[in-house]
Amino acid sequence: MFRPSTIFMSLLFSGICIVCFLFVHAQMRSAADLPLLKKHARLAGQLGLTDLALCTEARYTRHPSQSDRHSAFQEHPGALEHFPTGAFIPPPGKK
Amino acid sequence: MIELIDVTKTFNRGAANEYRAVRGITLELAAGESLIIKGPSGSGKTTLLSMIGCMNRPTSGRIRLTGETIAGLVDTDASGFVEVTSLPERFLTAIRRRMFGFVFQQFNLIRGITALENVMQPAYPVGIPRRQIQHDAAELLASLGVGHRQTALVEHLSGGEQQRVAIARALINKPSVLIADEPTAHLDTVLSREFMEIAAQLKKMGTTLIIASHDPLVYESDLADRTIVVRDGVLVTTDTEL
Amino acid sequence: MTPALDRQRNILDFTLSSLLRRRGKLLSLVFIYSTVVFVLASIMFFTHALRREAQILLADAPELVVQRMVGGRHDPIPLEYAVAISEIRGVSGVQPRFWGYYYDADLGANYTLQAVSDNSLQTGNIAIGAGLAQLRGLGNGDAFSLWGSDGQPRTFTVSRVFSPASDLLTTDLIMTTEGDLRELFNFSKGTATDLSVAVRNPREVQTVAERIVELFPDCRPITREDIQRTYTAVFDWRSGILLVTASMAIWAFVIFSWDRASGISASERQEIGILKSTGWATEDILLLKLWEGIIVSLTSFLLGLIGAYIHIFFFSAPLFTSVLKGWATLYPSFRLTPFIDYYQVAILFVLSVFPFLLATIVPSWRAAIIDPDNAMRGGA
Repeated sequence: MFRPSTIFMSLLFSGICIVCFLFVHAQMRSAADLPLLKKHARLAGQLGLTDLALCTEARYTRHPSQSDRHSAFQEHPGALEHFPTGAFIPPPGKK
Repeated sequence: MIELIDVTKTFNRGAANEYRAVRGITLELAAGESLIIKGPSGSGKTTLLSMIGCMNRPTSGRIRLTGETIAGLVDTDASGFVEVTSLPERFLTAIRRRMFGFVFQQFNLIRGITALENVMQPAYPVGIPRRQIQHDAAELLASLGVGHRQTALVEHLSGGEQQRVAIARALINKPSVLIADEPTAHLDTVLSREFMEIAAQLKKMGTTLIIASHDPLVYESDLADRTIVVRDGVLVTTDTEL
Repeated sequence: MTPALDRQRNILDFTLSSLLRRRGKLLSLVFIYSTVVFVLASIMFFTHALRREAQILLADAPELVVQRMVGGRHDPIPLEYAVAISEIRGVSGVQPRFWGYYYDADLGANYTLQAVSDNSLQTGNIAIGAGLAQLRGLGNGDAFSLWGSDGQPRTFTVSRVFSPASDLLTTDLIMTTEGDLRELFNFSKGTATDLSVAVRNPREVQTVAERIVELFPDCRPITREDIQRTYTAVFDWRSGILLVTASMAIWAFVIFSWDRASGISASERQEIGILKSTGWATEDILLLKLWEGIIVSLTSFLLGLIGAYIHIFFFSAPLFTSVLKGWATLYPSFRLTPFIDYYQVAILFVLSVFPFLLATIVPSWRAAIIDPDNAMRGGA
C-alpha cells in the first residue's frame, strides 16, 4: 500500500510534468508554425489586407482597423455597434 | 513529579460573570502514584486536570513538573523542576505531548477516520516515521483487546470500544502521566469495571494516573493510592489509603 | 528521513485522509476552482495567441491607408488625391484599393470583395477563401454568381481557393480584378475605395500622415501601427489581466464564502480542539491547513491550466467560438499557434493560488489558537 502522501506527491509531480511538457510543446509548435505564419503575412501584404477575418457577422465589424469613428448609435465614437464584437473590441486607441 | 502550589483559576476575570473555578489548591504527586479526584460536577475537577495537563494556565499560583521527559525539552532549575506557569505556548505543547495522555469524558475521537488513524494521530507532529507509528498503534489496540477493530470507522464502534481506542490514543506518545476525566461517565457497570482493569494494568507498568470521577466504582476501588475531594474549587479532604 | 520531513509527511497524510472524508465537498470545491482557472487561463491563452498571430500576420499590411470621409462616413476617394499624395516627400508609391462588402441573402453571410492590385487574376476569375468555398460548395473551376448593383447576376470562375490554413485572413474573401469589381459595384470612374500609401522610411510615416491631412482635411490616414494597435487593444494584456484580477477577486470571494459557510463548522472547530488537546501545536494545525490549501489550490490550478491549454491549442477554443462568432454565418476555422506569455501564467498562478491559501489558513488560525482544554469540556 502506498501512503496517501506518496500518491498525492506523484500526482502533483506528474501534473507539473504535463504542464512543462505543454510548454515545450508550445515552444516547438510556435517555432514550427512561424514559417507558415510568415507566408500568410506575405499573402496579406500582397493582397493588401488590413484585418483578420475574425468578426464577420456584419460589414461594419469586419475591418475594425478601418472602421470610421462617427457612425450613429454608438456608445463611443468609434465603438463597434454590433454584439458581440462591440463587447470584445474596444474603440481604436487614440494616437 | 507534579507540584501545585496555591493554584487558582478564574474565568471571565473582571467581568460580571467572573467565576473562580479553582481556589488555591496545593497538591503534590509522586511518579507512579495514582490519584483520584472526587467531587460533584462543577466542582472544578476538569479545570484542575487541564491545568495539571498543561492545557490551561492558572490565574495565580505555580505548577512545577519534573521527570525524564521534561529534562530533555526545557531548562530545569537545580532541583530538576520546571515552572510551567510561565512557559511559552510551544513548550507547553511539547510537554503536554510527551508527558501526558488524556482520556476525555466524551472520548473526543475524530469521526470519519479509522480507529487506527485516531490512535496514530497524536504522534504525527512528533516526527517519527509513519511505519513505526502504525506499528505502535496496532500494538496498543491489540493489547487493549480491540486489535480486530483497527480498520473500522470510530462511529461504528461500541461505547466500550471507543473508550479503548481513546485510551490507546492517549498512550501512543508513551506518556508518563495518564489523565482521565470522568472516564466511566458514559459506560455501563461491566465496561466501567473493564476500564478499571486497564487502569490497574497501566499502574502496574508504572504510569502515573490522575482520574477525576464521581463514580463510586472508581473512587471506591483499590486503584487509588490517594483520593482527594474537591468542592467549589477547594481541596476538602485528603485521605491516604496506602 | 529526518524528523522534520517525517512530520511533514505524516501531517500531509493526515490532511489527505481528512479531505477524503469530505469527498463530496472536496470534489465540488476542486471542480469550481479548476473551472475558474480553466476559464481565465483559456481567455489568457486565447487572447495572447491571437494577439501575437495578428501581429505577425499584419506585419506586411499597408503602411498607410488613406480614407476619405464625407459627412462623417467613409466615402470613395478621388484618384486625383493619389497623384497629390504621391508627390509628398518620402512617399514611394500610392496604390488605389478597391474593396467592398457583399451580402449573400441566401445564406445570410457577408463577404469581403477586394480587387487585386497586380495582374494575378484574369477578368472573370475570382480567388476565394476556404471558408466561403466550403459554405457554397465551391472548388477550382466552379462558377459563382454575384448580383451586381444593377440587379443583374454576373458569373465568375473560381480560379483559386486560398489555403484553409490562411482562414484567419481570407475566410470570407473574394478577390477579383479591378475592372470586375468596378463593374459589379458600379464604382464611379476616377474614384477608389481608399489609397494604400507606401513610405520609403518607416520613421516618416507619421510625418507623411500629417502632411496628407494638411493637404486633404477630409482624409483620414490609418497607419500600419494603428492597425496593429487595434489588435493589440483588442487582446490587450491589461484588459486581460484586469479580467483576471476582477474575476479572481470575485471568485476567490465566492469560493471563500462558500467554503467558510460550509467550512469551518462546529465539527471542524471541534476537530481542531481534539487535535490540540492530543498534543498538536498551533503550528501543526496551521501546517495541516496549509497542506489542505496547497492540495486544493495546486490541484485545481494544474487541472485548469492543462485543460485550458488543451481547449485552446488542441481543440481551437470550441467554447469561445460560439461567443466570438455571434451571428456570423461565415467564421474562420483556425488553429491557433500556441504563443504563451509565461509572465501571464505566473500572474495567474499568484492570483489564483495565494488568495485561496490565505482564505484557508486565516480562519483556521483563530480556531487553532483556542485553548486545548475546550476539547476536554465535551468539544469546543
